[in-house]
Amino acid sequence: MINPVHLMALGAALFCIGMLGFLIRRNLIVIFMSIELMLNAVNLNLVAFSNQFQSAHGQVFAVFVITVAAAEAATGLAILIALYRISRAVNADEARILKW
Amino acid sequence: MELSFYILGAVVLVSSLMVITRRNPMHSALWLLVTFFALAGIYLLLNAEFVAAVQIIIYAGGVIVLYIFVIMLVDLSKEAALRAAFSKPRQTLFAVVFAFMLMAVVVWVSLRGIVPFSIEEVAAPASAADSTRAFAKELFLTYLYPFEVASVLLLVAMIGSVVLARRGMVAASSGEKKAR
Repeated sequence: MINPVHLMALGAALFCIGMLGFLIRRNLIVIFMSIELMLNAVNLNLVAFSNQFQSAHGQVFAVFVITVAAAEAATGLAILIALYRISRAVNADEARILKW
Repeated sequence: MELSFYILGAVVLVSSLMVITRRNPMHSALWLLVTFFALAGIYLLLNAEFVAAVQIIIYAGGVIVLYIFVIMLVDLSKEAALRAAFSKPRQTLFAVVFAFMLMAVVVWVSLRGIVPFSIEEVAAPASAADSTRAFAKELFLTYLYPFEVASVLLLVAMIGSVVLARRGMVAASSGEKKAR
C-alpha cells in the first residue's frame, strides 16, 4: 500500500513545479504546458483519494478534469496561433495589443 | 509496489522540472510526454486502470500531438536548427538500439506469452474489471448530467478553436487595427 501522504506530497510538488513554470517562463507554449502539469497534479490527488476511500467518484472527476484540460489546450493553442499570426511572437511579454 | 511508486514519482518530478527548464519548447513537450506516461503508471498502481488508459490516449496521444503541431507551426524560422538537432548520429544510434530492444520485447511476448504477475503480492480483490465497472456505474448513473455537459463543452471548444485559428478572423482584426 502506497503511503497516501507521499502521494499527496508528490501531487503538491508537481503542482508547485507547474506553478513555478507558469510564473517564470515567458514562452506561451511552455506556460500552457505548466497549466497541464498543475491539472495533472490535481488528477493525481483525485485518483489517490479515490483509491484511499475505495470509491470511483474521484476517478470520474479525474476524467472530467482531463476533458476540460483537452478543451483548454485546444482553445488556448488556437488563441496562440491567432496571436502568432498578428504579432509573430509567442512571448507573453510581447502580447500587449489589448493594453490601453 | 512501493518501490515502483517511488521510481515513477522520481520520474514525474525530474521530467516535470525538465519541462519548465528546457529552453527549446520541443524538448519541453517531449519531457511532458514522459511526465504523462509516468503519471499513467502511478494511476495503474492506484487501481485506476481506466484513468491511466484515458491519460495515455488523450494526453499522450492527443494533447501532446497538438502541442508539437503548434510548436512546429509557430517556430518556422528554426526549422533548419530543428533538422540539425534531429540528425545527430549518436542519437540515431540510440534510437535504433532502443527501437530494436522494444521490437525484441514485443516479439518475445507475442511468441512466448507473459506470465501474469500481480503488482501487489497481497491478493487485491479490486481487479481491473471491478474498478472500471465501478467507474462506469458512477459516470453513467450518478454523473450522467455532467457527462452530457462535458460533451457540449468539447463541442464548444472545437468550434471555438476552429473559429479562433481561422485565417479570416485574424485578418479582420488586424484590418481593424490598421483602420484605427
